[in-house]
Amino acid sequence: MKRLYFLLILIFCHHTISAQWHQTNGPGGGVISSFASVGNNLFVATSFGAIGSYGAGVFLSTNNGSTWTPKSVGLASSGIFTLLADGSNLYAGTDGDLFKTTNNGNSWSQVNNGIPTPYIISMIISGTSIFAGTADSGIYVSNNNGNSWSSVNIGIANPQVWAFA
Amino acid sequence: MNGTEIYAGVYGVGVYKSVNNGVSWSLTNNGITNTNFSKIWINGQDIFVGTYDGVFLLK
Repeated sequence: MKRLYFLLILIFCHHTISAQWHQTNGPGGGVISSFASVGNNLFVATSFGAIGSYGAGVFLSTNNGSTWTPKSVGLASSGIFTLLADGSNLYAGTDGDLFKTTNNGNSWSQVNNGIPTPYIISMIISGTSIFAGTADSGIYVSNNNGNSWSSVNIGIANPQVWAFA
Repeated sequence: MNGTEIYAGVYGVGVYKSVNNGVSWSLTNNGITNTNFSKIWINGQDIFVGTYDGVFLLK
């Protein structure tokens, strides 16, 4: 009986003190620039790869990182700087376009309307408004699920918008 | 943040964790093989870190 207690204590201690990081099976191909969750689906984006190159696009895991599936068909760039989930919609900001998928990344469509130079590096959602921060032209807002965008830069001194909160 | 826990990824060093609102931090790198961090993501009870070479999950 003493031996059993000892084993149980060991197991308990092991469980409480051994939480550690485990490398998931990927995704390879670049710097992880962004995460987004759509239900139980976990998306990550890669921005840069090797020196002088862009990353490998967007990946989806449905099993907490055990496997990753590329979801970049239709994305014109593999340099993805930001992801934003809005319900079942997912947005991907790249160095040349803003894209949207409504089917978990199986296909993407451009949603740049109103953004002349869409180098999108940050996004946030507030209520029903979606905000996109760019590398060179400040902040844009959409109130119709990305169908059109308008500039909202009053009071913004620098057009390079890296983060929202 | 995850409940009362705050995680901070420091590029080139590791992931720090605070359980007292940032008063003190402890390094929690056990299992991490790439400390070039770019993002931390909390999804329910799962904590992920994104690095320059893949994704790590704390479990």
